[in-house]
Amino acid sequence: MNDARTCYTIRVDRELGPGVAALFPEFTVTHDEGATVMRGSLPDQAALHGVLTRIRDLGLTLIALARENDNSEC
Amino acid sequence: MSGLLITRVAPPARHPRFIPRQRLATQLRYVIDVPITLISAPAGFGKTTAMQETLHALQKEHAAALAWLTLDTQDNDPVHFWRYAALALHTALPACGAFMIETLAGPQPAPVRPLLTVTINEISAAAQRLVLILDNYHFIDLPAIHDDLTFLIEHAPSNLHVVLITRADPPLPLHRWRAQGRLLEMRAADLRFDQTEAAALLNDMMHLELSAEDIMTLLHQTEGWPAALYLAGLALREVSAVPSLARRDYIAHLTQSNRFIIDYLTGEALAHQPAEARTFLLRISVLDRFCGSLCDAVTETTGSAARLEALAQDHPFIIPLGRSTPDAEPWFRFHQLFSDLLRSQARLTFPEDIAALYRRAAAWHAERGDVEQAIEYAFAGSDFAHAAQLIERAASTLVMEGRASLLERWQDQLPDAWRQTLPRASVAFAWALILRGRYSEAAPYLERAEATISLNDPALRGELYAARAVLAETQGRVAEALEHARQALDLAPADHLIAQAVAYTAIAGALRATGDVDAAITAYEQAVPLCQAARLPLPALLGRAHLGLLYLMQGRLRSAEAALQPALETAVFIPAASPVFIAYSAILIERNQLEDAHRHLQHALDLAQQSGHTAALAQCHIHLARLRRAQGNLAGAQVALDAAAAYVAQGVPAWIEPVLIAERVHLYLDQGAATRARHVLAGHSTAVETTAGATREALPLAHARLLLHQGRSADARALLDNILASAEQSGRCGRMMEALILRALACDALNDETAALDDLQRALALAEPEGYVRIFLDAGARLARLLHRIGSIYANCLLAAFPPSVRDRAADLLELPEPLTDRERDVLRLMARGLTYQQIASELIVSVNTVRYHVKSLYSKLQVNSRTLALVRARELRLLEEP
Repeated sequence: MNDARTCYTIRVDRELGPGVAALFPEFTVTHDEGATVMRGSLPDQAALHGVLTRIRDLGLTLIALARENDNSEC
Repeated sequence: MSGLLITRVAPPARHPRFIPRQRLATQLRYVIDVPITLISAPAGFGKTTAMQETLHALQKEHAAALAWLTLDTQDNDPVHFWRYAALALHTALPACGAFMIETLAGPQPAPVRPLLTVTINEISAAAQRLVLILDNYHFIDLPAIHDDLTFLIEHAPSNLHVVLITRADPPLPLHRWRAQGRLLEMRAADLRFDQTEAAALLNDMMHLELSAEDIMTLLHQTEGWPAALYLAGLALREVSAVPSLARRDYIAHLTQSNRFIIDYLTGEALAHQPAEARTFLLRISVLDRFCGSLCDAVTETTGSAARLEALAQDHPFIIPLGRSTPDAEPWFRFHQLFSDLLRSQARLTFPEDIAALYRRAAAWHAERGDVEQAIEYAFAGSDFAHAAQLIERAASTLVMEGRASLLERWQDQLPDAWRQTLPRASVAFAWALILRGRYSEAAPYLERAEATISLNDPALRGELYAARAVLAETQGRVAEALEHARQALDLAPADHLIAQAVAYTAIAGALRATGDVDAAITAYEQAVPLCQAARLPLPALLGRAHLGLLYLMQGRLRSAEAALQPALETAVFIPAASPVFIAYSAILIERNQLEDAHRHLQHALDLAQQSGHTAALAQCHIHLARLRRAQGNLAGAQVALDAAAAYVAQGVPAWIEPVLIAERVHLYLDQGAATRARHVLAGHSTAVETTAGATREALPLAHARLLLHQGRSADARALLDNILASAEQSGRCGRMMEALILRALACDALNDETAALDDLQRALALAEPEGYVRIFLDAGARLARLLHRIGSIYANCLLAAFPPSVRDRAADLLELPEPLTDRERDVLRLMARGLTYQQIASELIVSVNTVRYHVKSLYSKLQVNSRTLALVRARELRLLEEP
C-alpha cells in the first residue's frame, strides 16, 4: 500500500444545495441534470467509508462510485 | 447503576405531531412471532415512530415487557453497549439483567459471552414476553458487538424478541435468518407514505386542504419520504396565507425542482423563521442534546426554555428526550437529518463563532460535573487546554468504571504536546492496562507519568509506585516489588483504595514468593477486603485463591475453605479467576470428596483454557493428576502430568515446577517405578537447607518418599527430621502433617513402633480439627495398620475411608507378631523368585551367612520352618506385594 491519495467520483441523485455540499469539504461539487457529481481525493478506504456513511446519514441516494485513473489530478 | 443515564433506556417520547400509521403497526405486531426484526431505512423514514406505535399493542395483547435502548456513537464499546442493553432489559423486566449490570461495572469488567448466557437464562425463567429494541444500531461497527448480538439472537429463548432499528443493514447473518423464517423485515418501501397517510398528514393534521391530485404530486416528488413530505407541508403552510393558486404554483415549482428536497426545504423552513429564531436554531445546532439553560449559556441569551417548548410543539425535527427527574428541565435533540444540515448552515453563516459555541457548551457541562460531554465539546471546539485539564480530572474515574477505551480515544485525539502534560491520565491508563493483564504495555505510560508528575502530588506518586510494585511482582522482581509497594503505602492517602489495595496485593505476592507464609497470609488478609472495596474483583479473587493455598500449607483446611467459598460465585464466569477453583478443589481432595473436587477442577480447567494462562493450565493438570491418583487412575494421572509438564516448559512462575516434580515422584512410586522416580529427582536439590520459596518442602518430601520406597528407612527418617524442623519453625502445619505421616512409616519400617505411633498421633492431632482425610489414605496399607493400633474414633473414621482391599491387607498385617525389616522383605521376595541362598547373597551383595541369618529371623516371625511354608504364609499375609 502506498500513501498516495486516490481520486474518487461519487454520483448522488438530486442537486445538492450549498448547505449539504459543505458537508463534503473533500469534494468539488457540480450538478449534472438532476444529479450531483462529487470529485475529490481521499487518503484511504476508511476515509471513503466515512464519506459513504455521511451520504447514508443524509438520506442521499447513491447512484455511482468510481475510482479515477491513478495519474489523474483531482 | 447511577452512572447510567436512565433517559436513554426509555422509549423516546411520542411527538405531538404524529400521524397514526395503522398498517405499519399491524405489520410490526408479528415482532412477537420471530426472534429478530429488522427495521432498515434511511434517515427520516419514521422507523422509530413506527416501532413506538406498536409498543402499546405489544403491551396490551401480549403483556410484553418493553426494553428500549437508543444507541449513539459512544456505544461502540462492548462493555458499554452490553451494560446499557442490560439496563434496558432490567428496567423492563426487573428479574433480568441485574447480574450483567453489576459484573460489567468496575475497572475489570467480566467477559460478555458468559454473562449473556446468564441473562438468557434469566429471560427464559421469566416466561413473560420481552421485546428488546435497539434503536440507531447503525452506530455500532465493532465486530465483537455484532458477534455477541448474534449469539444472543441465536440462543434467544422463545419469549425474547430483538428489534433492530438502523439506517444500514448490519453485518449479522440476516440471510440465514431470512431463509429460516426467523427474520421480520420492514424496509424503506414499507415505510414510504401512501396516499391515505399523506392526506392524514397534510390535510388532517396540517390543515392544508390539498386536492388528491396535489397530494399525489407531492408524494411522487418526495417519493413518499416522510421527512420530506413533512417539510413540504411546513413550506406550504408558510405560503398558505396567499390564495390557493400560489400554493399550486409552489407545488409545481417543487415538482420541477431537481434540488435535494430535504436540503431545499430546510433552507425554506429556516428562511421563513424570524431572524432571531433562525440564529437561535443555527447556534444550538452544534449541540448533541440540549435543554433551556444550556441553550441560554451557549447562545448567551435568556428564555431558551420557552422557545424550545414552542419549537418542539411545532416541529417534528426537534425531538423531546424526557427529563432525568420529574422536576428537572426537559431535554431535546435535533433529528439527525436536520442537525447535519443545520450545522452545515451554521458553519457557512458564522464560521468564526463555532469554536466559541462549543467552548461555552463545554464550560456549561464541566460546571455541572458532566465531564465526559464537556470533553467532547472541548475537542469539538479545538480547546485542547480545557480538554486536557478535564481528561486529567476524569481519568481515574473512567478507569474505575471500566471505560478505559474512552480514555484511550481521548488521549489519541490530543496533540502530542498536550498529551505530555497528563501525569494523572498516564497513571490511570497504566492502571487500566495492568488490570487487564497487559503488563508490558503499561511501563511506557508510567515512565511518561514519572517525567511529568508534580513533586507536591504525593498521592499520585503513591499510585505510580503501587503500579510499579504490581509490575515488579508479576515479573518476579521480589525486592523491587516490596520496595515500591512500601513507597506507595507511605505516599498514597488512606482513602486512595485502589493504591492501597494494589500495594498490599503486591506485598503479599512478593512475600509468598519468598516463602514467608505467615507474612504473606497477613498481607493477603489485608489486601482482599481492600480490593473488594476498590471494586477490583480480579485481585480480590486471586488473593482469595492464594490465601486458600497458603492456608493449606499451614494445614488450616477450614480457613482455606472460608477464604475461598465467598469467591466461588463471583469467579464462576471469570476466566482469569481459574485459581479459585483450583484451590477449592485442592481442599475437597484433602477431604476426600473426590467427585466434587473433580467438578470444580473441571471448571477451573474450562476457565484456564478460556484465559490461556499457562500457569493456571499447568496447575490445573497437576491437581488433576493428584485427583486421578487418588481415584486409582494411574494412567490418567500420567496423561495429566505430561500435559502439565508441557505447560511448565512454556514458562510459569518458579514455584510451580517443584510441585510438578513432587507429584511425578509420587505417581511413579505408586506405579512401583522407583528408578523413574529417582531419575525425576536427579539433578534437583532436595536438602531442606538449599530449597526456598513457597513450595520449599515439596522436593525434600518427594525424596523422603523415594527413600522409604527403596527401603532406606533410616535415611528417610533423617531427612524427615530436617523437613519437620523447618516446617515446624515456619508454622507450615500442612507440610508437618505430611512429614509426620512419612516419618511414622519410616519408624515403623525400622521397627520403632513407639516412635511411629507418636508421629501418627501428632499428625492426627493436627488433622482432626481440620478434617483431613486424603493425606492418610495416600500413605497406604502400612499406615492403615498403624491407624488400627491407634484405634481412636478419628483413626477409625479414617480407616473406614480406605478402600476395602487395603483394609483387609492392613488387618492381615496385624496378625504378624512383629513386622519384617526391609532386609527380610528383600530376602523373602528373592526366595519367592526361586533364588538359592548363594544367588540371594550375590544379588544383595552380602555374605551367604548373612542371608541365612535373615532367613532364620524371617522363619521365626512367620512361625514356619521351611521355605515352602514361609512362602505360603507370606502370600496369605500379602507380604510379597508392594506396600
